[in-house]
Amino acid sequence: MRDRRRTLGTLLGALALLLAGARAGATPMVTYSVTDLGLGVYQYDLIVCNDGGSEDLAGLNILHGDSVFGLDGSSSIGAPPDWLYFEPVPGLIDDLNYFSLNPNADVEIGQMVGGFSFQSATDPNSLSGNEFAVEGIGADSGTQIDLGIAMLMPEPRALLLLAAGAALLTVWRFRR
Amino acid sequence: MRERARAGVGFTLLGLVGAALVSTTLLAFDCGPPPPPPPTANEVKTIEELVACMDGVLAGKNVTVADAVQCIPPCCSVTLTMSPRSAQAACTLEGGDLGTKCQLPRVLLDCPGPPRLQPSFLLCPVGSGEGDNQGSNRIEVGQDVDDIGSMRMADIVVKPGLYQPPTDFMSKKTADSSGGTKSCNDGCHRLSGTPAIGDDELSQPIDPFGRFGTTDLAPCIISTDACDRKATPGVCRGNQVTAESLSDICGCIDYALGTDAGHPLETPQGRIVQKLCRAFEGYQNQRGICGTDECPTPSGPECPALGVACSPITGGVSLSATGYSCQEVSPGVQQCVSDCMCEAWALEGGGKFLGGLSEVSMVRLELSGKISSEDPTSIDDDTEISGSLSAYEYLTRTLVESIALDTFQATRSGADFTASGSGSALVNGTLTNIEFTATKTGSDVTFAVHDADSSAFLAGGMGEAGRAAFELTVTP
Repeated sequence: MRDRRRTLGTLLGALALLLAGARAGATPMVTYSVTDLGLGVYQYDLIVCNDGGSEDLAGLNILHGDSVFGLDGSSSIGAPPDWLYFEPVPGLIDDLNYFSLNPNADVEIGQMVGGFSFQSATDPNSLSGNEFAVEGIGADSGTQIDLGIAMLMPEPRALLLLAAGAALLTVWRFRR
Repeated sequence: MRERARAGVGFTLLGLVGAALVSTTLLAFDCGPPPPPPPTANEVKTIEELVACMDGVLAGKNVTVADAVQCIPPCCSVTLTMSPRSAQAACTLEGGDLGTKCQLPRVLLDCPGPPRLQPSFLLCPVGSGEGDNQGSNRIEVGQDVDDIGSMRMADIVVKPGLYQPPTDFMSKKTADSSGGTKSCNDGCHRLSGTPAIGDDELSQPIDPFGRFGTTDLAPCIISTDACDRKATPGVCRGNQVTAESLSDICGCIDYALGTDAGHPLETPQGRIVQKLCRAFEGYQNQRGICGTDECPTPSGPECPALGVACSPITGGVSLSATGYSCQEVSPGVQQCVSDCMCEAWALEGGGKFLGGLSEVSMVRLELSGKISSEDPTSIDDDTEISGSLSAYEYLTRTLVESIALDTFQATRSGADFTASGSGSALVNGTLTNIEFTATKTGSDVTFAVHDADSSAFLAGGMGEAGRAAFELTVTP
């Protein structure tokens, strides 16, 4: 029994340390999830997470909107409230540019904002390298902030299955 | 008996055949070869061909002068002048219950030919002649006969009603010292050359953008798509005139006739100028120098030196610019034709631009227009500029959008260019006068948009390498 408690305590301590470490090294980033709409069309939903950033974010640029995702003036593109966007111009401008019109709509430090979306025929499984490179624009400086490459979030259904599996495993171990 | 009857029938048949042969032969001698078909508008190059086209198209129909517009050759420029100093004097009519005020200009066409043909019409339904001969029922035409622009001139009357083929329309030299049978040189044009009595009277041209005696005619021009010309309306013979397109003028006439009871345009002649205005609007949009229809391949006299200025009358080499040059109009065929052409231009691009402190602006630019010009390296457009310009500067959160451009200029060398423009835009929702510049040198691009009144910077900077691009295309 004491061994079991010691093991649990060690696990919780390690988890706390991991979380604290993650928090300390946090940087602003963009995560995304993908929904297969069928007929070869995918909906990309993006979340900008300004964790550990030095200033609020007033802009988000998808660097290869045309060349990787085939976006143009006819594409289905979504933006959060009080944000607008300039779509790519095929052959001339690759970027999809989002911008916040209102400081209250900015991605504040430590906050996250979703609602950035677009539909594309590009299969998310085909993305590689820096094809999904993103950058932010600082609200105070008006300058660019490298956000690296957007990270794929597991689907909600997959997360639920993972959580259920973990719960079952824990119950089974305690019963033993 | 039966044999005699048969012989009789035979003689009768022979007689009929013989009579038919004789009559056919006689008829053939009487008729001669069939006359050539009347020229189509595409074939009209001279005054006589213009009249012949009208005769062919309008014969037997109830017509007005508006119906003659279909015989104007394609690809002529259209200039509207409010000059009252003419045998086709422009006017402004104001009145009616609503006090609608319409500018009713003279319509000057310039058809490059060669030879250059310059018909003119009048949208003012009063004056410049009496009854059916008044100015708005007449077509005044000049046709160049030499390199210095001497013209033979005509006055063609198109009376409303059943079409009457014009006769005696050329201005001829008379024994007395008057200005020709149409009085073209009687206080208006100046005599040119020394034609014999009975020959065509020759007249010197009057530049509608130049001076006429002490009068500066340029401020009278309210619209033009003539080659490398600009409309700069101002005070015209003491009256302030304003820039208006044919569409604006036709709209004013429509409104005066349809809505404003008692307007002085409410006359039969007012209805005629209404039709004439719409006929020219359609001409300019479809068959004019920058219309939607493609200009037919030009033709002129043969010329010896490709690319060299030439005489549009003889095709010979000219030492000074004539507006015409020796061009290959079809494989192996060199002819002296006009340098003026319609250029469709388009400026597209934008992207990410950085200011002095690396502050970011995003730009989207998509503008286009058409101008007639002799210079393919230069664009100066103040006509209908379409498209949009949008820009956002993140630091100041300045959004520039929904731009309506009034002017656009560009000079280009290969793919490089310097462009600028002015107009109005919504700047963070407020209507603002703006001006912008855009440049491309190699792969470097710059962009800036300013408040035209305060000169305040709104957005722009140096284009970030690989993230900003412009493309200016010009298509003849």
